[in-house]
Amino acid sequence: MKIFLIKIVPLIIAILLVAYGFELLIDSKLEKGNIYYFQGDWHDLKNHNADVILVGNSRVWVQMDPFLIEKSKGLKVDIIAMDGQGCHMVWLKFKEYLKNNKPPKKVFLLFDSYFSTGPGNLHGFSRIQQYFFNDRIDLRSLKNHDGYAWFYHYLPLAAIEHCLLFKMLTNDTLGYSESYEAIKGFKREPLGFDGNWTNPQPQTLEANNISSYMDSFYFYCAKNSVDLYAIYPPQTYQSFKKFNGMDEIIGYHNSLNIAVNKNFKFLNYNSDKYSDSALYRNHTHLNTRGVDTFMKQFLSDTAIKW
Amino acid sequence: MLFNSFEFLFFLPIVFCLYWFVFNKKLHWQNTLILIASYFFYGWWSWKFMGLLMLSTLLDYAYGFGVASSDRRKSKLFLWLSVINNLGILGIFKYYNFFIGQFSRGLAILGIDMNPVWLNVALPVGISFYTFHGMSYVFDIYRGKQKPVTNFVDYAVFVSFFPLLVAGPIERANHLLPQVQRPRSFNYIQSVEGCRLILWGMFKKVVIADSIATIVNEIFKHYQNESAVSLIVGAIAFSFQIYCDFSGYSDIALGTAKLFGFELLSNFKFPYFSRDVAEFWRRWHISLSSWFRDYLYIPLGGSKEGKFKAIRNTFIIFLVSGLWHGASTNFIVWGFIHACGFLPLLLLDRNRKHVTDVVAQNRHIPSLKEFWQMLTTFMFVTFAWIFFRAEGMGVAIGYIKRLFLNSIENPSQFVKVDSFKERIELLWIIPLLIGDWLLRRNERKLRVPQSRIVRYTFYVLLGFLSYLYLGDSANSFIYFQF
Repeated sequence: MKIFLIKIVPLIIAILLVAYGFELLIDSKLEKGNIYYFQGDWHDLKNHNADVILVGNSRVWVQMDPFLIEKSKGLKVDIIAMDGQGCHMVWLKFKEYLKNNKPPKKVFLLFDSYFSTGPGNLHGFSRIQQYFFNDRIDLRSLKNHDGYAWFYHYLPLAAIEHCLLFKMLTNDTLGYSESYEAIKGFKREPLGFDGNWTNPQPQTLEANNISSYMDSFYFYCAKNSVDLYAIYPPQTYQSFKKFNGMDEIIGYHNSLNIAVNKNFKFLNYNSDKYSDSALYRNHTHLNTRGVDTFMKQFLSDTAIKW
Repeated sequence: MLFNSFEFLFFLPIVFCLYWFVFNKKLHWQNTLILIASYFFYGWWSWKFMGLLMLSTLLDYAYGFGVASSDRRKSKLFLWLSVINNLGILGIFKYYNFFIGQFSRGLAILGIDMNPVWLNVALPVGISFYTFHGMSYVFDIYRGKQKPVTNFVDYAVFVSFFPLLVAGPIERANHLLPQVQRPRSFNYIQSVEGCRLILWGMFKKVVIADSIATIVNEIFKHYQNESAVSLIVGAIAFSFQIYCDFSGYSDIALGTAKLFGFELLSNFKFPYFSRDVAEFWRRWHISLSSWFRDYLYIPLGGSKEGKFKAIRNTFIIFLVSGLWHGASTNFIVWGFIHACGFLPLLLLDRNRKHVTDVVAQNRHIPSLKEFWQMLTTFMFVTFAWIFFRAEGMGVAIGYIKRLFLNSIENPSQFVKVDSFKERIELLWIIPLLIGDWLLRRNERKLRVPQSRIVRYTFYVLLGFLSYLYLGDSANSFIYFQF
C-alpha cells in the first residue's frame, strides 16, 4: 500500500503541474490580448463610463442601436447584454461593469418574458469561460446555474471547452475581430423573415425567484439617482398576442417590492404597428427595417427625459 | 454520480482510503462501507429512486430463500415471483409508455379510440442492470449453482456495488458474491492495473467519445442537409463513440473494482476486430450477451433442438436484447438486423468459428482475408448502429435514404477530402485503434512501455488530456439511459 501511494501521489501531482503550466501559458496569452467572443457579450468592461446603458438580452444587441442614440442625443451609450439569458445573469454583468465605471445617467432595462427568467442553464457559457483565467471576472456567482461547478473557479481548465483553448493558445480570434468600441456588440439582423410566422414559440412569464434580481436593478438606480426605464420591446404580433402580455407584465412590476415607487418608468412598445412580418427576422428579433421603425419611435418618445 | 465528473475524483480516493485504512479490520465493515458508498454514489443522481433499488434488492434477497426450498413447487413459485417482480419494475418504469402507445395505435387501426394514461416518470438509472443482477441470483439458486446468502449486506453489495451499479458489467452471483464474502487484502499489482484501466477508460470516454459526440450529434441532427460522405462519417463516428463511451465506462468500472480487491467480468474484447457477427457478439457487451445466452437462449432450447428452434431462439434473444436497450422500435429493429446478420452463420454452422482465437493470432498484422472480414463486419455493425442512434424510425430510414440518394446524385464527393475538415477530432480514433490492436490478445492486461520514463510520461499525458477535455464532458454515459 505504501509503495502504491508513493507512486500514485507524485503521478497525480505531475498531472496537476502540467495542467497548471498550461494554465499559466493561457493566462499570459489572455493578459496580452483583449479578445472577446461574440457580440461583445463579455467584453472588457473597464473604463467605459457611458451615460446610457442598455441592459438586456439579444433583443438589446439586435434591436437597440446605440449609435443612433449617440448621434441623436449626444450621449455615450454602452450595451450590457447577454444572449439567451435572463435578468439574473445580466445583473452579474451589470455589477461587473459598475465596479470599473462611473454610474450611468440612464439605464434602459429591457424587460420581456425571456428576460424574466431566473438562474437557468449556462446558455452561451463559452462566451464567458475565458474569464475564469486570471480571475479576470469573478464568476462564482454563477453557482446557481445548471452546469456550473464550484471548482471551475479554481480549475479553469476543467471548465473550458477544448476548442476554445486551442483558439486562445494560437491567438486565433474567438469571435468578432472588430473592437468593442467599433460595434459595441450591436448587430442588426438582415431583412427577410427566417421563421414560421404562423407558429410562434409560446411564451410564459416566469416570475419565480427573480424579483430579488429585478429589485437589484431598481435599488441600484434609486440609490445612485439613475433614471431607470424598463422597456417591453416589440415582439411579433403572434407572440405578443399569445403572450397576452401587458396585464401580466404590469401586474408583475407592481408586485415587485419597490418597482413602482422609485424613479422608474415602464415603456411598452408593442402595438399593432409591429404586426407586420416585414419588420422581423424571426419571432423574437426585429430585422434592420424593424430596428429603424422601433428606434424612431424610441428616440421620439416623450416619456423619456433625455 | 458520473465517472467522468470531478465529484467522482474526490469520492473515489475518500472511499479508497476509508476502505483500506479505517474499515480494513473486518470484512463486514468493508462491505458495509461499500454499500453505503454505493448508495451515496447512486443517490447523488437521484435520492428518489434509492427506494426502488432497495426494494428490488430486498425482494430478491427474500425470494432467494424461497427458491432454495426443497419443495420444487414452492421453489418455482418464488422464481416466478422474482421474475414478475423484476420484469414488473422494468415494465412500469421502462416499457409501460412504449407498450401502451403501441397498443393504442393498434386499436386505432381497428377503429377503436383509446385514451391511454401515460406515466410521467424518469427512467431510474441502472434499472436494467440491477434488476438483471437480482434475477441472475435467483436463477442461479433455482439451478443449484448458488446458495442463498444469509448476510443481507453481502447480497446488497452484489447488487449495488457502485462501479457496476449503473451500467454494468452485469455480474453473476457465483462470480461476484464469493469475492464479496471473502476477506480482501490490498494487492499492489491489482491496484496498479486498476489505475491503468481507469486512466485508459477515462481517456476513451472523455477525450475520444465526447469529442466525437459533437460531430455525431451535429450530423444526425441535420442529416437532411448533409452529404452522403458526411452521413457515412457520422455513422462511423458513432460506432467509435458508442464503443469508447461504453467500453471506457467498463474499463473505469473494472479498474475501480480492482482498487477494492474485486475482479469484475470483462465486458468488451475489442469488438471491432471481429471477423463475423457471431464473434462481434462474443466481444461486445459480453456480460449482457452471456446473460441472455445462459438465462434465455439455453432455457429455450438453444441450438440443441434442431435448426428451426435455433433460428427461433436466436431471433428471440436478439429482439429481446434490442428491447432491453430501450423501449423503442429502433432498438428492436437494431436487434433484428443483427439477428439477420447472425442467421447465415447459424445456417452454415459457422457461428462458432472464432471462439477462442483473435485476429492475427500469431502475427503483427492481419491477413488480407482477415482484414476484409473485419471491414465487412464493421460495416454491417455500423449500418445497424444508425438505427440505434437515430431518434425514431423515421430519422433512421431518412438517414439511410439520404445516404444512398445523395451518393447517386453526387458521386464526385467521395474523392474530395473537404468532408473531413473541421472534424479533426476523428483523428483520436487512430491512437485508439493502435492501442486496441496491441492489447487484442488479452483485454484484461494493459500493456505498458517497459521504460519507466516513457511509461510515466504516457500516464501524465493521458491524465492531462482527460483533465483538459473534462470541460466538454458534461455528457453522461450512453448506457446510463438503459
